[in-house]
Amino acid sequence: MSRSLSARLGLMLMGLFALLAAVLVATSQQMFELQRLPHLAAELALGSIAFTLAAALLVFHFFTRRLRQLEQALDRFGVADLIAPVRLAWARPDGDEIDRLAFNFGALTLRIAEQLRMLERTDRERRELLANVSHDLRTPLASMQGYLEMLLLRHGSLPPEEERNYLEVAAKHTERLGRLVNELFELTKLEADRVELQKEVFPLAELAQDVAQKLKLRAHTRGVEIVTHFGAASPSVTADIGMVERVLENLIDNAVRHTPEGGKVSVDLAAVGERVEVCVADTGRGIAASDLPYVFDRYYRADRTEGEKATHAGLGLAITQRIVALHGGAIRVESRIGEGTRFIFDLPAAPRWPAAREAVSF
Amino acid sequence: MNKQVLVIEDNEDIARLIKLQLSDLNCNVKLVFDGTRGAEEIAAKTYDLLILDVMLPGVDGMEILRRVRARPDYMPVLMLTAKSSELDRVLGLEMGADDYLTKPFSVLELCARVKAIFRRVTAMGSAQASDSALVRRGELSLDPERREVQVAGRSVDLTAKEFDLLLYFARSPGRVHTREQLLSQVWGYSHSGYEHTVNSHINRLRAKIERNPNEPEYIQTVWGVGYKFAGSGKGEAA
Repeated sequence: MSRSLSARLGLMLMGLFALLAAVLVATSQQMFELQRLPHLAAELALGSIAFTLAAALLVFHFFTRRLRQLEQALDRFGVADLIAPVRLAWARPDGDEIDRLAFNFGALTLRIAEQLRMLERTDRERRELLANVSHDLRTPLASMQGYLEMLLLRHGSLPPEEERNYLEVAAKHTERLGRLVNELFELTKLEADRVELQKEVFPLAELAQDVAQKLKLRAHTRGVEIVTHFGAASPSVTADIGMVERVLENLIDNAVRHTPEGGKVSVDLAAVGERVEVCVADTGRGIAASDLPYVFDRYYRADRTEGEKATHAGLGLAITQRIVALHGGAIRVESRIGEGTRFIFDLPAAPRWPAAREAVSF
Repeated sequence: MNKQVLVIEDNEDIARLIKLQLSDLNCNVKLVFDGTRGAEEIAAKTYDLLILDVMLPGVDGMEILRRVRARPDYMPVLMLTAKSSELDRVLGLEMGADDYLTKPFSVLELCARVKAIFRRVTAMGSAQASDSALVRRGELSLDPERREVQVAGRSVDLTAKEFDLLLYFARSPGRVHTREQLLSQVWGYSHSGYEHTVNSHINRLRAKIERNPNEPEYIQTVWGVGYKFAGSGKGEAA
């Protein structure tokens, strides 16, 4: 099997010249008749011109046939909005140059079609996010506008306590709007990969303890207890300390908010091979199995139905997942209705001292 | 005596709001709405506090901060920023801003921060005169005046905040501090979203002064509570 165009061309020309030689041998008896010599020379010259033309046409047709097919296929690809990739039966990676060219074109168009599909999906998701976000931005904005306009309209005629009441409502919605805008900004930045991780080696248990302590008061006022089980042997990780704090805070705060009075939120760590696993578990109301696959979606919110009472923007878990992914880890959720929910994520374990001293320079 | 405050902020509504609030704190407030005029203003006069926006027309906030810090005298700076990215925060603080607030901020928070800065500046003035005695704990010795640290006779290179944190720990051995306490005592402010800087500094300090940072001898963790400097206060001060 010849694998290059020049080899094929050589073979074809050899065949044609062999044919020519056979014709010459067949006519060779007449060559020795002297009186016919000038006539023969003229015939030979004409014959070779005609032969060369015919041979060139044949060879040209043979080689351009596949190029024509390829060109037509690419035209069809363009007409079909770049979604149906080019597939030619003869295109293969082990053929001659034209076979390989067609094969590569096929692979290229397949990739273009796939990427286009992905872009369309991202675009659809973004539109949905925007629609959801503008709804949630508009709700507090409408309240703010309404109460402030009311204050301007009735200025001087409202009893002071009512005026204060209106102002408090407006201030509460301002705060909610601010939080949502901040989370949106954070998530957009994380998704655009514009974040550089400032990695350092640190004992994860210490950070978890500090975060738990920070949230203890808030948990206490809701009648929820935060329990941590750490000791001196707790593993260190190599990660961005500020971002890991954000993850722990999101998960613990989330757990506290979804746990009824008298409940418990526990935080545990375990070294698993080269990774350190963190588990934040609560004794809350749990998440329905049908909702579990969507908890990390950008706009999921378990308490969406609570309307005005649901003051959290719902981007926290999407942010959490993105941060864990940036650290090469994964986050998963397990839940049972009425029993509670567990979020488990992992981070890269730090090399043991003194290797850590070389791994991270301060 | 009234404090002199300069506000460099291009959003005039926000600038006026700050002026209204600070006037209640007995401050004379001057407003400047662009970076170029702001830079001229700080070159000409010394203020008790500079409130500085990061994004400014003309000379930008970071450049103004750099110029303020290049001056021989100390002018406290409170940065305002609409970008809440961690990098901006760290940059602002590492470059020597005294505190920062991200927009939108509450006016109550602004007043509390401004008061805290004034308190700290006053405290700094009185502390500088006293308490320059050498602190020795085990193999560790700290010279507050020259801001030098030695471990077993070997001198260790610390950043300004690392030194402050170590000195704070070493002056109260055996006492347990929570992370929030350390942030407000050593950094002088408490801000949700910046506490992890304490963890970072403790890590770096351990890496620099401990024999084995996994089993620290000096800065120890008290599980469930916070951090303490080893010992019971018996360390000798020379």
